[in-house]
Order: sequence, then structure tokens, then C-alpha cells
Amino acid sequence: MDFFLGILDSCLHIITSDIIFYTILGGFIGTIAGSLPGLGPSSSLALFIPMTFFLDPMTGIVFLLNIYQGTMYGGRITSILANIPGDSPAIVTCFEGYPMAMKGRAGAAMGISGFSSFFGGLIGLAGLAMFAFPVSAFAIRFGPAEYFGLMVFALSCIGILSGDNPIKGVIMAIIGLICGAIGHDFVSGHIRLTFGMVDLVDGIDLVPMALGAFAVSELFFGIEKGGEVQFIKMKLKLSEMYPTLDDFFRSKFAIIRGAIVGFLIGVLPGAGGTPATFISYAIEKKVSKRSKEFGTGVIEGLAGPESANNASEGGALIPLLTLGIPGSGGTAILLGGLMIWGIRPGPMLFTSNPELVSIIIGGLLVGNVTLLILNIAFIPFFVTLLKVIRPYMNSSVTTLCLIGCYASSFNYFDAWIMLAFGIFGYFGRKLDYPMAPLILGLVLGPKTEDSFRQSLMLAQGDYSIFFESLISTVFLSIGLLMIFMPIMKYIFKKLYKTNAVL
Amino acid sequence: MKKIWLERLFSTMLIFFALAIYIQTLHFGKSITGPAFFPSCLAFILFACSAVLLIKTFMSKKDGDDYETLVFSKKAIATIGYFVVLVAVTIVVIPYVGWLLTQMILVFILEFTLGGRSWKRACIIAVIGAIVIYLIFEAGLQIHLPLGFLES
Repeated sequence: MDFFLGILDSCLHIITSDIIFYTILGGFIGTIAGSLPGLGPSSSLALFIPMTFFLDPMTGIVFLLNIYQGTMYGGRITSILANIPGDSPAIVTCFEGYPMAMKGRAGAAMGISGFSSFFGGLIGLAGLAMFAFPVSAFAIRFGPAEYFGLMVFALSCIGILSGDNPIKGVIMAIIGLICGAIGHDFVSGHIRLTFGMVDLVDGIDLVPMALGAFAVSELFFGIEKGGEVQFIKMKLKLSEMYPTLDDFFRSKFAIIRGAIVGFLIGVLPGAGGTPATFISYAIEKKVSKRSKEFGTGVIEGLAGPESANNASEGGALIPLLTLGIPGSGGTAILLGGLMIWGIRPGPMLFTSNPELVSIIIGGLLVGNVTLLILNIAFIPFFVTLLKVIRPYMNSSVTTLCLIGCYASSFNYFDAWIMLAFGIFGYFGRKLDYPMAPLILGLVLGPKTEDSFRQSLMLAQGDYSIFFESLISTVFLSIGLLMIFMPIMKYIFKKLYKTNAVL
Repeated sequence: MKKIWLERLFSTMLIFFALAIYIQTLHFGKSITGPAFFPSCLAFILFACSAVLLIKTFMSKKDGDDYETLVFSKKAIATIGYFVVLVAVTIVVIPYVGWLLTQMILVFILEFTLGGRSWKRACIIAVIGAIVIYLIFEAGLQIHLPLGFLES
């Protein structure tokens, strides 16, 4: 009960202090960034982390969280108005949102998607507030072996869930883990894997790597494609922003179903908003009486996935805050941002710093309300602003990336790291290598190695320590199964083919 | 360039990267709690996964993979190469020329060459854009961006 009162108290503190300004600003920036094709949650957070260094930690965290939350809202704007998803979870929004806009119902589509996002976000945050404490109370008993099992499980989920080709996901997670091992080894004091480069002694920072892998590689794609986004011509009046009662009646269960599905999928490491939206859309298509009309502008098909997308965000914060495991590229960068301020998410966070947890949830709650207002009342303004910003994307993002890199460490070497990862990310993405596991590997790498070595030191080199407790056995078994399952599947497929021929 | 060739090139580079990492770990002994064990395990997994992908490119043409797809044209590579060189030159000159002037020049070149704007408009965007961003960081965010030779 104290925890819920703490959240309420945090909401009041945010509203009555200058944090509210950064809450609104974060939501505003997030909405714009989310609606710009290519600038998804990961790139946006990476771009804006360096700009929070001058803020106090509480304000900086709320600002970043609301950028993250804002991108969830913003992705739908270009999906509905230009049939171009701002980020990957907004792909599904195009299926029904754009046909609705083509039918002259852009206002209703924007309105219902805004309300669905709000409701989904609310359910996600309610789930976060309810389940975060029990999970952290359970996780507080974890020793290094359990943590290692958990890390293997998280990395295997991330590797496998984040792309069509699981081996490529695993490769990216491994490269991220290797990058996390570069520099000083804090146990032995040795300097590792630097290839003689002095600038690598302190390791690779999250900001240049994330900027390179997400923002710079996206710039390359933008330069390659060229062209500008064409919005459909329409008039958006405030009075037309609100869906009709019939729209609400039709989509109410879709919104509730989407919120539940989104939250549950969001909790899984590596799943995130994209599968949540696709699954929610599939469910709506299955249960709807108008399933044959899907694809022509059915409002339930828009409301469900939008709700699922925002609910997944609350779900994804549970493993992040309670176990220190990010569920997506965006939350991995968020985790990096928290670590920069000296905050280590994990079960101890709830006992050592419960105020921070309530500020995080309170900040997201207040942000959710301000985002609803921003996204309903200011849609025409956002559309105009997007039209102004879009043609200058390449030069402005290049400039921001360079300054962001420099501002995070005051070291020009980081700009080279960013460029290198930009080139790597561009070629990798051409071959469908997912970028999120790379960042997750970097963030989780040190913790994974530490828990592995601590366990073996405690057991004097005996590997059986990883299978002594039920928790680590379960996590490791599932993790290893998930890694080897695709390989086994491939072998069985080949064997089956051979037998069939014989 | 066809996807199959890029896939092979990428996998081969990853194999070499894994080998390079493994060689780097050889200096630290072989204790399982030492600094070399974890990276060498990672290098081994990376090597194995990359080798699987490389072998797959020689075996599974009939499995429906889109290996024959053209991943990029020569023009695209030339444009991206130009952009990379531009950013690389920017990183080299920033410490000497300073952020303000470098950003102006970079934005001007990007807007004029890749953005297709007239030199007058590119010039205006570059000057205004660079000054606004510089002021946001210097005055607003209190992040000092060195001005290079202009500071002395």
C-alpha cells in the first residue's frame, strides 16, 4: 500500500515541480521522433541521453522515459497519414489506420489510436506497479549462479525472438558481449581485447555504439532511398479528433484484449512491442465478426494493436527494473542511461531506492496523460512540424549524432566507434541481422561474465554450481534449449527430407 | 552486389573477428575464472555460428533464401561511401576547426549535395542550423563544444 501511495506522491511531486516541463518535453520529442520513419525508440533514446547529463537524475530519468513512451505514441502518425510506419510496432497500424484515413476518417483513426495507446499504457503501468514488487522480492534471493542462468535465458530469448534468423540474433548478442568485455577486467586488472588501442582501455560506451547501430545505419538507409514522405491531404479539426460513440463501442473489447496481450508479451525478454501488435491484430481478426473486412479500415484492428504496443512498454519495464534485464533495444539503452547516473536496476533497487521506482512509475503515469492530451489536441501541429523537419533529417541527425557522441564522453574517439558501428549496422541490417541483441549484449555482458566467474570462484571451479539450484537449472535449461532448438530443428528437417527421399 | 556475396563476405569477416578475439585471449592463461575464459568461449560460439552461416550460403540455394536479391547498387554504395568520407573528415577536423564551423560546413555540404538544395538555401540552413544547435548545447544544456582555433 505504501508503494502505491508513493506512486501517488511522486505524481503530485512531478506535477508541482519543474519535472512536469521535462515530462511534456520528453513526450513531445518522443512523439516527433517516433513519427519520423527510421528514428525509433532506440535511436531517439541514444540521441537524447547525452542531453540529460545536465539534469538531476530524477528529472533526467523521467525525461528519457517519456521520450521512450512518446515514441510509442508517435509511431502511428505517419502510419495513419502516410502509410509509412514510424517504428516497427507501428507497421500493424498501417493495416487499418491508412485505409481509414483514405476513407476520410483520419481524425477518428488518430483519436481512437491515441485513446487505445493511453489505455494500453495505463494497463501496462498498473501491471508494472502490481507485479514489480513481488518479482523483485523473489529475485532478491538470486545468487551469482541464478543470475548467470537468468542472463543466459535472457540473451537466448533476445537472440531468438529478435529476428527471422535466430543464428543471426545469437551472433549479434555474442558480438555485443565481446564488446562488453573490451577494456579493463575489474576482477584481475588485466586489459583485454583492445588490440593495442589506448582509447579502448575504458571499454566501448553504450551511446556511440547505439547511435552507430541504430541512428547512423538508418541514416545510410535514408540516404540510399532518398525521397520524402508524402502525407495524404486532409483537414484535421479538433472536433473530428474524437472517435464517435459507435467507434468506442466497436473497439472497447479490442482495446482491453490488446492491453492484456501487450502486457504479457512485453514481460518476455526480447519480445517487445512488435510481436505484441502482430499477435493482437491476429486475435482481433480471429474474433471479429467483420474479419473479412480487415485491411479496409476496421477500427478494432487499429485499436487492439495500438493498445498492445503501449501496454508492452509497462511489461518490458518489469524485467528491466526488477532483474536488470532489458527486453528490447530501447529498454537496453534506457538501462544504459540509468547506469550512467549510477543507478543499477535489479531487485535491490526496490529496497535501496523505492522512491526512484515510484518516480519512474509516477513519471510514466503523468507522461501518459500528457501524451494523450498532446496526441489528441496537437495532431495538426505535429503533422505540420513533421513536414518541416523531414527534409532536413539527414543533416540534423548527422549533427546530433556527432555532438551526442562527443557530449557523452568528451572524447573524439567515440565518434569513430559510432561511424564503425554505423557501417557495421548498415551491412548487418542489409543481411537481416537484428541490432537490438548487439546493444543488449553490451549492456548485459559485464553482469553475465561477473556472475559466471563469481559462481565458479565460489565453487572452486566446479561447474555443477550452475545446476545446484532449481532456479538456475530451469533458466539455463530453457536458455540452452532455445539456443540449440533452431539448430536441432534444422538438422531434423534435413533428416526428415532425406528419409522422405529414401 | 548480390546478397549471397555480401552474406559470404560478412560471415568470413566475422570468422576472422572471432579468430582475432581468440588470439587476443591467449596472453592470459587458461584459468576458468581468469580474464581469458569468457571471451574465448564467446569467440568460439561466434566462430561456430558464423561458420554455419557461411556453409549455409553454399548449401541452401534451393531452400527459398533470397540470396540472389540485389542488396545495393553501385550508386547507393558510392553515395554512402561519400557520406562516410564526409563524416570521417569532419571527425578529423573538429578538434582543429571547432564544432561551430565544422557543423556549418558539414550541413552545407550535406544539404547542397545530398539534399539537392540551392547553394544559397543550403548556406542559410547551415548557418542557422549550426548556430541554433551550438547555442542549445552551450547555453541551454551547458555542454561545452570547443571552437578549435577560434578559441585561441
